[in-house]
Amino acid sequence: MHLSTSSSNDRLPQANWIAIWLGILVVIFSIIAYFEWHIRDLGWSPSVVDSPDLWVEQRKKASALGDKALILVGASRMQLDMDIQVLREKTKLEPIQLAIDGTSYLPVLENLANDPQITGTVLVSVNAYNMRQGIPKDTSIQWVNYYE
Amino acid sequence: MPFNTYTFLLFFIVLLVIYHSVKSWKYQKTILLTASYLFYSAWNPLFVLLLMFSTIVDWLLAKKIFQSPTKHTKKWYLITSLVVNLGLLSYFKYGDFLLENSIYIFGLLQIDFKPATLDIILPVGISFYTFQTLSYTIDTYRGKIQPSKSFLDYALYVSFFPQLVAGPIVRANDFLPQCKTPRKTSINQFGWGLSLLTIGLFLKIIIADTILAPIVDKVYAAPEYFSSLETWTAILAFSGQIFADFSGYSTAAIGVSLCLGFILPDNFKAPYAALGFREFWQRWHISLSTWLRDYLYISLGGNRVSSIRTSINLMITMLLGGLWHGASWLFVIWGGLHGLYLIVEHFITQYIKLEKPLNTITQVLLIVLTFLIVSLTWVFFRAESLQDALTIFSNLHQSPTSHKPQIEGVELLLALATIVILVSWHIIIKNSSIESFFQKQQNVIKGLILTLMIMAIFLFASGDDRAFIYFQF
Repeated sequence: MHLSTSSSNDRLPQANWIAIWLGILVVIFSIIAYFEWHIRDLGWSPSVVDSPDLWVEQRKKASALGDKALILVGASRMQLDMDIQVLREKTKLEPIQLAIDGTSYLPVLENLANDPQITGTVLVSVNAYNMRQGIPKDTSIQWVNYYE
Repeated sequence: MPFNTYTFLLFFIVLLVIYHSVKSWKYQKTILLTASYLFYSAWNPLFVLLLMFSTIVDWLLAKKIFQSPTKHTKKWYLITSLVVNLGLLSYFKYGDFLLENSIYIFGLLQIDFKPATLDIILPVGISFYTFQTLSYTIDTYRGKIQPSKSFLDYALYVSFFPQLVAGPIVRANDFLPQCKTPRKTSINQFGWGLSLLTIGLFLKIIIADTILAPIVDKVYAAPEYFSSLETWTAILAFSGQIFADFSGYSTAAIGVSLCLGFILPDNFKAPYAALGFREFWQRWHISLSTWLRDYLYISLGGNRVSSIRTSINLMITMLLGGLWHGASWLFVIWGGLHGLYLIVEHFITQYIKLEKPLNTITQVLLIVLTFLIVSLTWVFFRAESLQDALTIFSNLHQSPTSHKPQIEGVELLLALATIVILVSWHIIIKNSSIESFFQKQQNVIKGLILTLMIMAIFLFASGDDRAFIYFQF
């Protein structure tokens, strides 16, 4: 696969590139516009994108709430499969979402365990391959470090 | 500022508008140089100074080499260039590694040696631009090129942002002549440049990050929890991931350059269709393998010496080539294994002469065998430790039901199907090119392929912020 046009312009695919790229832009904008309109019509609305700043905000709340906190730790299953409102109503506790998609729960759990201000309930979603602590480059380590 | 971010998209659009609206070629080059420094400073502004230092030192030394009347003084200026460049590279890339190994050796000798840790931050792309500036001084010393008369042209050659942080490693005699006359970007160049950028991003974001990386990351994070099927899939998936990640970057870099009117060299030519390891290295990371061939292997004597000496030269080249990828013994093992394969192949081809060409089935079988060995060797490249690499190999011959499945069947199937398609595509396109494939398609089909790729990027991208693997080298 000669992935460049290193030797000369002879290898450049000849085409009506203006028409092609205009066509691509029109088709893509039309599809995206339809897609956006359709999913909004179905009742979906934009949601929050997870970020270290939002996570730190929740982490601070976990310390501040004391016994009233129900701290959720884990990865995507815990993050996406829990209905915070239902949890709040059923447990009479304040759920704090600290699960991070695609990460090990151990760095977060370790951080909570080392904090004497954490006196609430911790609910952990466990995956066997995450049992090993200190997986390099894990986002959870970066976010915990960001908090610390 | 990686290519797969909205920041880059904005940066590129603004640059294209400014660059193409300026008439003076000198101003256009100044804009490109400023943009390149801005692009690089997005990682760490301080390291722009290091890049400038490296640029100025080799600019002056190349001039001195060229002007020196005697071979002896030329040699001393070249040695200065080698010491400065390789010294900086050694400090930033191998400082911690050398220190850790020194502590270990002193420990074996029962000497208490506890120096303060260096905690050095690796400047992104240092291995790439160091090799570019070195090729400039070495080529000047060898009389292959004359030093550039324009500092602006030379600084742009070292810092040109599309290839600055992850290659291709461009040679001065490929790039500097392009700086002499204004680069007129034709419609065909611009259209195809945008297409290459799209293809590169599709390879990186969809194939590497969305389909293959999740399986690879899971298995390599804790290999002892996975079955043989999952481990085999992860090994093959990493072959696909590293190709899609790295060739994706090169393709995007070539496309971005083309939109600016510059032509960069090929870096990948269907490497997984290689029949044997010599051919693999003629198709994989070509700009690095040719650099190592021209400046290391040939300098050591290449194959103009005895068979044994040639083997030693091959091994030294591949061991250092492995170490170039990072400060870890695992990279050295990876390079050493490839060196061993090349030596074995060298002896086989020397003593077994084929009377007639291999038939198609035998060729395909040998291509698959080469791919499997290359894939198994990637384990040392990807594993976090030697222990992990050995665990992965021990997993391979376990019963498929020895572990509870951790990865969903659909994910495994998708990854395996992607690898089969990738290798088949390489075999199909082995003696052709992506340009000729696109040339044969009707305009509607060209547009459809690119539309589907862009839609996939927008709709199915995993959302994970994964850096390009080769940034760390």
